[in-house]
Amino acid sequence: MNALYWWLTLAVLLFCIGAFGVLVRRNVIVVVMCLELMLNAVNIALVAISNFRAGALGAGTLFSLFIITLAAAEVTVGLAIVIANYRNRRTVQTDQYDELKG
Amino acid sequence: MEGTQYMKIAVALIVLLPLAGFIITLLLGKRLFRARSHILPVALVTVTAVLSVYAFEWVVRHPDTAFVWNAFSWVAAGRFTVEWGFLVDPLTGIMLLVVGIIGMLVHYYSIGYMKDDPGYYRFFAYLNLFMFAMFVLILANNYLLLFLGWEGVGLCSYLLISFWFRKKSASQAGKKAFLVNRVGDFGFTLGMFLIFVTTGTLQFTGVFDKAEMIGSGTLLWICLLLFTGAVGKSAQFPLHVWLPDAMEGPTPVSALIHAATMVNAGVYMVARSYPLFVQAHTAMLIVMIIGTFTAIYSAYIAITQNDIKKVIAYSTISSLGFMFMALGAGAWAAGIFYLFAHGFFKGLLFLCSGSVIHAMGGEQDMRNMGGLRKKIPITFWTMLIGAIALIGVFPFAGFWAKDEILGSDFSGGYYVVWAVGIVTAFLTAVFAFRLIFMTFFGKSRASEEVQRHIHESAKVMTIPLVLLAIPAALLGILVGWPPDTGWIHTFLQPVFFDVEREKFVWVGVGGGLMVFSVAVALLGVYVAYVMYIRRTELPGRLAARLPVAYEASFNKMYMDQVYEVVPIRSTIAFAGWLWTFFDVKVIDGAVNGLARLWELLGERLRPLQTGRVQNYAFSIFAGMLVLVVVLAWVWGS
Amino acid sequence: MNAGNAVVVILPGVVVAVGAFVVFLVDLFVARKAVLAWIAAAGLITGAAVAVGQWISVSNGLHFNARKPQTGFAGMVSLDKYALFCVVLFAGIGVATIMLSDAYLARRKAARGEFYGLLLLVITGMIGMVVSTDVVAFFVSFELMSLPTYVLAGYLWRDERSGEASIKYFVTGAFSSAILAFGLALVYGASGQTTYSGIAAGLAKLSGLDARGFLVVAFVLVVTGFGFKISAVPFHNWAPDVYEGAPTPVTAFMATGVKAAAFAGFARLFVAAAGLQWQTWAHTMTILAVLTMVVGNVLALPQRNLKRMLAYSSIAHAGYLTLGLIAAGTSGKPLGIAAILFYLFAYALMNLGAFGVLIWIRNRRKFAYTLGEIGGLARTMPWAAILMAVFMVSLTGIPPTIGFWGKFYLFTAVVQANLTWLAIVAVIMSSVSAYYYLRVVWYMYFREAPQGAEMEAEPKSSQLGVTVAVSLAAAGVLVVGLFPEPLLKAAEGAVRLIFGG
Repeated sequence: MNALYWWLTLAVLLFCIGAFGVLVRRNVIVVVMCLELMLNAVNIALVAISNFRAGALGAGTLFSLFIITLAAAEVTVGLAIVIANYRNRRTVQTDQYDELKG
Repeated sequence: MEGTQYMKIAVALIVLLPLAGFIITLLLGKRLFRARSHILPVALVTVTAVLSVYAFEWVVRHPDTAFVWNAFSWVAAGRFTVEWGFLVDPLTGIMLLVVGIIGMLVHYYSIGYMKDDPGYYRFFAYLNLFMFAMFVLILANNYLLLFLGWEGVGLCSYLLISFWFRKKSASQAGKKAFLVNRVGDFGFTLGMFLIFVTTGTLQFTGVFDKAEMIGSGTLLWICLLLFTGAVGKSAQFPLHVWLPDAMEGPTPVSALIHAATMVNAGVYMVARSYPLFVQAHTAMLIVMIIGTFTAIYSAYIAITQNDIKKVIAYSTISSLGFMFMALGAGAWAAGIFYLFAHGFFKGLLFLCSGSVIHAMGGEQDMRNMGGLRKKIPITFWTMLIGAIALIGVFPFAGFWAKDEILGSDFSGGYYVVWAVGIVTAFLTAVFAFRLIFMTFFGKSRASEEVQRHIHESAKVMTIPLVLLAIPAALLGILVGWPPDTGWIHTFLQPVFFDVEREKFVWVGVGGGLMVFSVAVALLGVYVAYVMYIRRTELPGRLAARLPVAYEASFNKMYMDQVYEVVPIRSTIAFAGWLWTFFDVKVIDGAVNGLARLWELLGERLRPLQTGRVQNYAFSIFAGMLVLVVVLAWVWGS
Repeated sequence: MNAGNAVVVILPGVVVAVGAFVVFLVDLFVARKAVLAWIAAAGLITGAAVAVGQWISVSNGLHFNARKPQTGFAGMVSLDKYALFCVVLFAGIGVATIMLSDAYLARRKAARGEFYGLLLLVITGMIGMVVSTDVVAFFVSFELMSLPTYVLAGYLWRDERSGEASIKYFVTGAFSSAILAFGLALVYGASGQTTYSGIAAGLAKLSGLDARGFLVVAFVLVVTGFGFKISAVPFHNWAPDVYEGAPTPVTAFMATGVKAAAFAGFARLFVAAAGLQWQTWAHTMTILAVLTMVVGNVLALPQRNLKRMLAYSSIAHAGYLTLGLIAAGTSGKPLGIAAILFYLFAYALMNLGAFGVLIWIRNRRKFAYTLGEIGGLARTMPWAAILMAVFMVSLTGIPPTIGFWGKFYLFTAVVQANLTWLAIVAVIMSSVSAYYYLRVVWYMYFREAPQGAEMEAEPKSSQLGVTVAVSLAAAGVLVVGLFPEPLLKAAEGAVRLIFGG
């Protein structure tokens, strides 16, 4: 086993932890945090690949920089949306938002 | 070739002008034109009428060459190519003349008839759209373009039948026409599909060139399916039920669409497919039987109807039956001749009835009319001419065409058909003159109030009547003399090229037969005279004496009831369902089992959409995992 | 290649982005907000005009090589007819959305400047997705498209439903983009490259079972991101809720613009990057397509709310569109992709039109969105009713409308790829759709108007934008329905160079 696989395993684990959090936590703030966890898992994978994979171009590092920026933008938008909704309904529990269905 | 350039321009304008009129009037009519909405459409239609005459005259000058113009490619997907292609040959020429001239006159007539209607602009817009679609239909050189026009005229027909949509009966009638026509159109579409599959093209010439190579079984199916379309559009038994109800539309519409032009589209289409039909004798036989039956059946119903427009409507169905009888018996040219003449005199009759209704302040029941002869003389005289032309008395238009058809039945050995035709002619004479006598003769049965207001219609309405009365009277002798070999036969020769060779028609009409049929017609007039002028108590006694026969006729042979109760309603639904599967169900509002099933399924699945965002995320994640497993499995093996 | 040339390659996108910032800036200083719509539209039209100019240059080999796409930024972006076709389509959708929004937003006293600015940013992202030839640029564009859309969905956040729509869209959207990002990272891991051509070359060299396993996971993750954006089953659940809750002009835009960009962008990624492995992918995608068509159509049946019905119908249309990808993948011929482009165009016209009619009605009355509420529309608003009927007929796919030809070309492509059974499924499902589309027509023409359906007086803010946009869409539906040839030729020309054939 070379180092890349260990790094990728870490990334997958982190990704799954994040996904699990998105699926089960009811608090939207925590959900947003878990989304960030997933994106960070992607970053780990990208950096690891660009470092350890034979013949890989450096673009992976570049990609991870972009993702860090995008993650920041995403949190901004996400929190703004959460706050706007909190003003309406006074709750951040995801299961309270089920007026639209069927 | 000399003049093709001009022909191209003419054909393009014939198609485009009414379309332009429709678009402009619809967009600007309500706000800008209002009560002047008629000016543009009428002007454009007048120009197209002139161009139609030009095109017709071109055909006359070039008897041996059809004008073919593939304007541009329409659809090209692999092997399947269709063009916006036009064809002008003698058959088209005659149709152009009928549609162009009657269309123009009806437009003029509508100026007076529809005056002050809130939907004035809409009416003229629809009429122009109809003209566009009808011209596309008759000018097309392939089945698909013909079908486009076919659907277009259908659409206009529904729009105009339910023109006064606030009236429940009018919107119901529009719906009925739509429904019933779907069945026919479904047949037509299948027929087209079969043609394409067997010959690989939809172009008339291409299909007809290969006609002899099509297997006889396939050919029979093609012809029957096409004929199904014609049965729907031309209101033949058993799909005729929509036409009488279509009288809910304004009378100019009845004259133009439901008498002179659109309903002839079925006849035209069968005549156009002549090279196919002529090879399928069984199909011809069926065409003849359906036509013959429809002719006598609806003539019988017409005798007892009291609504003036319904009488003419049933008469139209009967006349269309006559045309199919002619085509089926192999008297192709005579059938088209009848179509030609019929367009004029039936259009005339409808417009006259409109004038009567107008004079009576909207009254349509003939039992409340009578004695109008003196009060509205122009309408009376023109309508009389129309009626005489209809019953086929020498030398009016109907005589020549009708006697050629009957003559060919006789000489072709179809004696039963001939006998039925004679009886039909008799019945036709009875109901036509029953109409004339009940409306124009005797004492007025209208209320005082109505009587005071009776007046002749405005010039813009009466002049079209007079202009239509001229061809209704003289057309027959002009183009039909001498019988069987008259001008119209030579003219149509290039279209029905095989007729001479086939030999089984067209031997000649004996003078005896002619005299006989005229005598029958006059007898009918006399019977009507006795029953409705001399001894007016007689019809009632007759009805009491023969209750079954009377009731059957009066209730239109109970066909509507049959459609209500018996599975035919569901058969229609089924056929329609096949056409666009569920649209009939939607339109009809009836519950169709299969659609209900789908909907139930959908209703059952709805709870899956829980409204909780994490369930959605879970669905995404689970779907992803399942795909991984499936793909790994597919790839692993 | 110098930077100037590279900017030329992405010039349409740059123009639209500049337009967005001009709108944001002018919004600060101008009191008459109506002018903002004109600025935004001008930005889009300029972008489209640039694209048309470039199209002509490319066609005639002026300035550009007619046979080779012009690339820039180290092969990250490419200028070719495919991208240009999409740019024009997106700009058109954008302009239509602006026309539909103005009166709608003014009535609700919502800020218009930010709306148009965000809209233009979304379109910049959409353009980025189709010009990208590198997964990094692709993902950045994808996010640029997604993030402002979350905001737009919740633009009227004081309305609880709009707020709920945006929170749902955000959570599921961010979740699926994280998955997409991981998928793209794995693709990069498998091939060692990020440009499409590099990925194709890298994947071709792969062998061995574990490399395959790696690829399977990577592919599925990318497909998940794709499936989410186009709302393919089982990644579709967000769509009905978000479409129903979002402001109607935004719904119209999401259903047409965002979906079109997702299709066009991912089609390019799949076909250009997956290379030889494509055939296997196509078979897998068949599962998605069938599920999507069936679930979309069946769930549309019981819907009474038209926005929700159109949402499910848009899921169904995503299913038909996926068929184009499958056909292209299976047969290796570009007809399927051309059919997709044609269909995207058709779908944009008819869906913008249908939503536009709803906006039109809603601007004149208190309610508009359920079947009962549009009953008798033929009497109260005859022009709107007839246009709606045109759109419904076209969505069903009945000739002579553009919808018919859209389906015709798609299904033809499927049949030519020897997947007749799939075409049959599609035809059956699209006949199921006739039921719920034509039901709308039936309600408008044969049902009585509900209580209180009297129209309010002509509103202060002019409805002209909506009326014109909807009428033009209907005209497009019919005109292209009668003469589909030129548009199809353009679509075929657009795919020829980059997909071969």
